Amino acid sequence: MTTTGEKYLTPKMLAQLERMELVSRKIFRGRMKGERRSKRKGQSVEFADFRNYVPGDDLRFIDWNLYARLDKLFLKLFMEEEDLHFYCLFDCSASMEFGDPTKFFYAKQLAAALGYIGLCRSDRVKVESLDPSGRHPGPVLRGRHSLWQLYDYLDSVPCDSNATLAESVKSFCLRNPGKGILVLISDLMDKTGYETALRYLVSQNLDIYLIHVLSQEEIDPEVKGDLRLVDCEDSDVAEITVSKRLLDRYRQTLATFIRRAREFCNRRDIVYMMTSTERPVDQLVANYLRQRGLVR
Amino acid sequence: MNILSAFTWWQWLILGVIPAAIVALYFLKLRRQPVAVPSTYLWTKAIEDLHVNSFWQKLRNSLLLWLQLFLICLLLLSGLRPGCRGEQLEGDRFIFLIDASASMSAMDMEEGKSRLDLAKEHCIGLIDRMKPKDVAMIISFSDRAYPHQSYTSNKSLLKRKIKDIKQTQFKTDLREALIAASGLANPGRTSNREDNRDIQVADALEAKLFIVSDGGVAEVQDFSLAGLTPEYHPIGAYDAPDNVGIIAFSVSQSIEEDKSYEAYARFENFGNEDKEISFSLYANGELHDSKSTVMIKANQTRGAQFDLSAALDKFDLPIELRLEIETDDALAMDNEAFCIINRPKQAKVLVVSDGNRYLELAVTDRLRKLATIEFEIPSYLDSEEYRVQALSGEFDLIIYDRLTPKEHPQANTFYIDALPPGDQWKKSESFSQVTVIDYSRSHRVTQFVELSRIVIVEACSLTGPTATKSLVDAKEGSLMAIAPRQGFQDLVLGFPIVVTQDDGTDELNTDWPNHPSFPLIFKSIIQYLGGVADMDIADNTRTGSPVKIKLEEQFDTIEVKNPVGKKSTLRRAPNNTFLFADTAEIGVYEVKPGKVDETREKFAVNLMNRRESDIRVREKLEIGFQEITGAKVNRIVRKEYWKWFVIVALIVLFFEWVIYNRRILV
Repeated sequence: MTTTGEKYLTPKMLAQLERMELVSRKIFRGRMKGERRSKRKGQSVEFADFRNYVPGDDLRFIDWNLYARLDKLFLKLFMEEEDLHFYCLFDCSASMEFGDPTKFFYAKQLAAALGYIGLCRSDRVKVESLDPSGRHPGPVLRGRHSLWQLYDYLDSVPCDSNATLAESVKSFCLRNPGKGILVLISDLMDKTGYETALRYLVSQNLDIYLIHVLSQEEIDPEVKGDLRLVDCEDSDVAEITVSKRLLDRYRQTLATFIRRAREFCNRRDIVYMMTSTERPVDQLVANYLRQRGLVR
Repeated sequence: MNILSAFTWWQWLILGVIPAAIVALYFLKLRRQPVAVPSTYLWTKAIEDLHVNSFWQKLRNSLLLWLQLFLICLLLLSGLRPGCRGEQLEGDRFIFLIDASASMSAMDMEEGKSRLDLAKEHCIGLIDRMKPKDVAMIISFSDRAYPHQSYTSNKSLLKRKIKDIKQTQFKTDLREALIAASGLANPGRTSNREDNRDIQVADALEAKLFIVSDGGVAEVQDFSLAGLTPEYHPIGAYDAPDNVGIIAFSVSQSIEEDKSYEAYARFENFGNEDKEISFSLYANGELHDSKSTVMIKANQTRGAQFDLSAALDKFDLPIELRLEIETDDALAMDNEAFCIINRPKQAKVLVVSDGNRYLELAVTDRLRKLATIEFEIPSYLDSEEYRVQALSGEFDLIIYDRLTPKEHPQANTFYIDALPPGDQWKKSESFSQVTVIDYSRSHRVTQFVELSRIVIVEACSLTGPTATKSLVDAKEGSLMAIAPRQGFQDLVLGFPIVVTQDDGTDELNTDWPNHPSFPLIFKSIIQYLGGVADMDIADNTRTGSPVKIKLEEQFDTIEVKNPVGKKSTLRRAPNNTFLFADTAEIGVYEVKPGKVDETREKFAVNLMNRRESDIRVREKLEIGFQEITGAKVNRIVRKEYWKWFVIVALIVLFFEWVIYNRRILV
């Protein structure tokens, strides 16, 4: 019987994820001591350097052995270990409820996987759905024992938001001013555009990763005949008569959409990655995200 | 094409609503199936420039709609019953008699197409109009009939056989073709109606006889068509085509000089307008004489004469003469004629006589140039040498003066006051004081002699076998007659020249030896029966006629090469002659004896047939006193095309079904 947790991550995946860690391209100051080496010298056990003693320094860090040999006071400097702020935002708009598996489930699975990597490394992990109403604020988690809390949270988030991406991201940025790594998982199917939302994130000086999730039926639609397409979010209608020409045109439009998103991200130092729901999450994390430098 | 509506006006009104209904239904059908999608964002962008919502765009993209409209249009068109006047042949059995004679090579209708080509096309057209179960047979004819195909309903086979018919250079003889058609069409009837065993074994089946010809045929009298219903389809232009042909071309020795030869030609204009022609005479391929701008009046003839002295000086015999009309006209076949001057050939003549001074005088002197003449006494007939010579055909002519051999020799004979062996020849009691009252001026033996004034003391009238022809007649009967005998000819004179008296002296029985006609007739006899003239100036043989070839020496086989290079080997007949029948090509034929690679003789074959050169199309034919006018009696039927529209509609329906199921192309 599959437990709640195994729905998202299997034990095998967990074992695989435990060996990984999140990598930030930027160095951030954490609020609590973590398992992450900092640029700053601090109080870990790993020796870094010596410096001359100046009055006021903590006497506990004076190297007495050196004082005995040289008769000078030197202070031992150690590498500081810090925690990392890891944010994972996943889209919970109605459009995510398509595909097999649904994009929404895929996003939650991916959030769980990345969150678990962070938890294992004692990072400060915050997984949250994109909902400006604040109905489902994501919990701040630390330590692998918090995995169950993460699962509970993911289970509790419904896929029914009608808010725009920009609103949701803005709301998140206002509530979470801290710096860190942010992974945004979305299908970017927002008629108002995704650009504003990404600009908000960029202004936060976060290390941003955008994972663009599309279902197979969006990549290669299998439709035929005369259809009335109804948008599941705003009930907008598009009447089409499927033809080879139209399908070709659709594929061209999708390719252009992806290309523009990638270009937009590249210009703003956002790592963009498009994935299909048919690509297994463990494969995505282990291969693709590793290549992109999010995990190692 | 015309239209015959299958519906009344109000039915058409209802039917007219159908296309509008289809278009309306199409739009009703466009109440599309709703499908929820994550976002219409990409779709909206994709269809922005396709404008599928525009009315015409919708129509443009709907192949199914167009197919449906096309389908209903086809069905409506088939309801209009479009059709045209078509013809079907009446009857169920047909015989096509296609004229392939020389005149059918005339090109007077379409550029590059002969009358035979048009006749073939016409017949193929008729075959196309045959009903599926009708049967037909194909016979082509010229001076002989060739059945190409017996009764069959296989139209493609009939057409193929018609296409295979080849142009001939023969004259036209419809009788042959009619006999062949009648024999093939009427079971149990043969071509030999005199045969008592010709029993009708089955009922005659009526058939329609299509005679496809230009009508240049002789009247066929005394022929019953029986179950054949003739229909004459004239081919060619009715207005007199422009044609000038050579109707005669011959060479003869000049009357004034012995060694001189002259060529005579005669041209005839068969058109209705005067025509200026130019012609040339070639000797052994080299231009010998030429005349230009010779005017020949419409429907008139004109002669031409050529002196051949220069050619005779220049070339060795045989000389090949070719006369050519260089002015183009509708029939090319009669614009060329050939003639040959062969090496003079000496005949071999044996005279068996118990002493006849007048005869000896007549056949010596000048005639020695024409023939080698041997004189023998009557006892020679009993010798073995004579037997061998007579039976082997060594002599061309044997003259028996007042005596009869025991058996017929293998040679032409001339009996003077004697009858050939056997009982076929008879003579009457002798009568005295005989005068000649008539003689044949057309036969080559008597054509140049004057016999009316001779006086005969005593003579007998002659009666010969069935084909005997009297040459000289007295009041009492025939005095000189000629009859054929197995390829030879027997000439019999019913009175002696001299009569031997009891005292052994010869006394004249006639004053004929005192007349110039006496040596002349012997010359004619030696030329004609000795076969001298036959090969000296080779007689003009017409295409299709057999040629008798006789060489001076004896050969078992000879080879004849026709103008197109086809070689035939002939075997010797008992009389040392060779009979060649394959004279299908106009031109010069070469004769080579046995294995000797040397042309010994040549002979020419020409068309020279006024009926073939006269290429005016006859409007009617006469067969067995029945006039057949070229008339069309085909049943006119309406050819309907509505079935084709329905078939196309079904094909469209099939495509619509395929496209509907694929949908991707919608």
